[in-house]
Amino acid sequence: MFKDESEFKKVIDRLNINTEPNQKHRDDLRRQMLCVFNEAKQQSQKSATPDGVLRRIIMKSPITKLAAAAAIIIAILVGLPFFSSNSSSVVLADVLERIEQTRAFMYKMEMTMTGDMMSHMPTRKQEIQGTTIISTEYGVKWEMSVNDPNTDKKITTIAYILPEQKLMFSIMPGQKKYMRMELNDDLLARMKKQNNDPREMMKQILACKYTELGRSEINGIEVEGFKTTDPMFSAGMAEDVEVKLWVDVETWLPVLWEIDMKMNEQMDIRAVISDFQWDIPVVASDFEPAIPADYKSLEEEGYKMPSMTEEGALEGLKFFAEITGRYPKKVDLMSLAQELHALKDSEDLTDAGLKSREEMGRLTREQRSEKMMNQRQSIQSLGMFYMMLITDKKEPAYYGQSVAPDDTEAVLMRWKVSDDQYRVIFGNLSTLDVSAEKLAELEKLTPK
Amino acid sequence: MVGTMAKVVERIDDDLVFRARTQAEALGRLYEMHYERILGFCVYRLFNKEIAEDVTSGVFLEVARSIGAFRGRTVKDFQSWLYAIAANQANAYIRKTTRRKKLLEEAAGSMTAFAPGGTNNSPHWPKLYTAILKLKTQHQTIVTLRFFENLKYEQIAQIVDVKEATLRVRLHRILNELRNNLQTVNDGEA
Repeated sequence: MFKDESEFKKVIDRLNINTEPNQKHRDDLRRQMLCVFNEAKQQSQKSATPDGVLRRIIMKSPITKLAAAAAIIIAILVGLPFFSSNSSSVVLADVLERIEQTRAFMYKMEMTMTGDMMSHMPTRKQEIQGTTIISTEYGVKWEMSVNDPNTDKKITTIAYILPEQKLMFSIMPGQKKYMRMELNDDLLARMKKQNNDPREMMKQILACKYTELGRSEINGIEVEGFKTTDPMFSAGMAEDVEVKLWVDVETWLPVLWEIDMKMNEQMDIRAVISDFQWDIPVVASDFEPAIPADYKSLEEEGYKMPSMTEEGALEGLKFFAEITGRYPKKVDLMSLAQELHALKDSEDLTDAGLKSREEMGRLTREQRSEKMMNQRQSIQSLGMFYMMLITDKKEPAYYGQSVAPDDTEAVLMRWKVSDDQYRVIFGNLSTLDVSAEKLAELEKLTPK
Repeated sequence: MVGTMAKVVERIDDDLVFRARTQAEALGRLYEMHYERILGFCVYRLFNKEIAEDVTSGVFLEVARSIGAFRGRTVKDFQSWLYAIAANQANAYIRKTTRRKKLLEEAAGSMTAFAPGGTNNSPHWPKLYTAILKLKTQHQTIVTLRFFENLKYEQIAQIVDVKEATLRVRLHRILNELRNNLQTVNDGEA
């Protein structure tokens, strides 16, 4: 016999009682339960609206009837616009309103990049996984991991964007390094728009052409699908694009994004954004960067952030011309990275370029790494500045494939600065503001 | 980072409870989190798996009907509410049925219990179950929650709606009564 609670517990623990669930019962009951739940919900709404009209069904019907767009959340790159229907302003407003009710949310992203990669990762396939948390109150936090196929190790980066403090942190635990960047108002506004906050992005909706995919089910959730192949979706960054969005027909919130982009001849990207959690509870400490004392700042090691400015772009063009005697063929980030990588073994360099490569060979590993970082930084500045011009709809154009560094009258690059004013960078990297009419004349003379 | 994410995930569970009032997807997730737990509780209370499945069904269908009015804020609140429904439904079944002997026979047949060394001090399960069934229904629930479900006093107190201090005293008395019941059963006065 048992004397006390603990002895009685031992008696019970010796029992071998089968509580193994029956999967069929489990599944059937789930279906039945949700059916009862939905009926009960409709019943309660019916009783709340004496005229018998279910307001939520009416509110839902625009999504089903008008095949409207929904909010996009993309955890990659920057400045991807949402798509919508020209005839769907009411629906977008409903969706935007729903999203604006969300104070914090999170999601997962899996991305596969196939093709020729960056200079330090010359592989055929790269996989990236990540989780992002967004809070209207505190900012953005994401954790991304990429498999380094050369070492088979995972490289993780944890980043924070903190609007209140106007700071961005990027922490690399594997390397025990971090980067701290101050954000000015312009950069902060840009990041708020471009870092996957659907409320901001809904305000920038660009009209894209799309088709309805009809209804389906994802993980037991009834969804409605939309698809676009409009290149404007990628703001001109990709040659081909196919995006599928699946929206929960009950909540009007995204459930799944599938994005396939052909960046250029050499590279494809596929991204899947899923596992959205809306209205999640967050606190300030969730967005406090945890930087261990033994971590080194990249700034201390000489690393400079790319600058998305005209000066930064000019530096990049100048650097490239100095080592190759020409300008990059294209200025999107992917193409720039690939061209820079290709220079590593190229004989088609200027004397200065060849000398620079020889000097690089004599440096220590750390010195070489620092020098390469600075070189990449100037090229990245060029790419990021151009990308900013696209997302800001400044009508940029670039003619680097046909304009030489000593060409004083050919337009190398131009963009709109106001209604009738364009900034022009000539082949010799001089700059001038011209009217639209003057630009047209100059571009006639520019070799294409 | 892992710790921070874990804290966020915990609060996501609490947020699920809030959303389950109106969102089927959230309710579905809560179901997946708690189905096995409630089935287990019903099996311990009723000792017949088929009957336990029926009662489990009743529990979750009741949840589906009533979750809209549920005002708990955390997943712990939800669990307590869930157990309370399960306890009521199991008690109702036991009160309704006149087949207690049948329950005992089935329990003896379907459950395998082993006693170490076959000592006289180790109760046989059907006798133990008979002794438990002699308790008041609320006391049976308390025994099941404490010793089969391994819940803490605080949560059991919330489920059965008594103060924790009262519960501790009550459980002490329940065990005394259970010991007496078991002695009676062993002496052949079932």
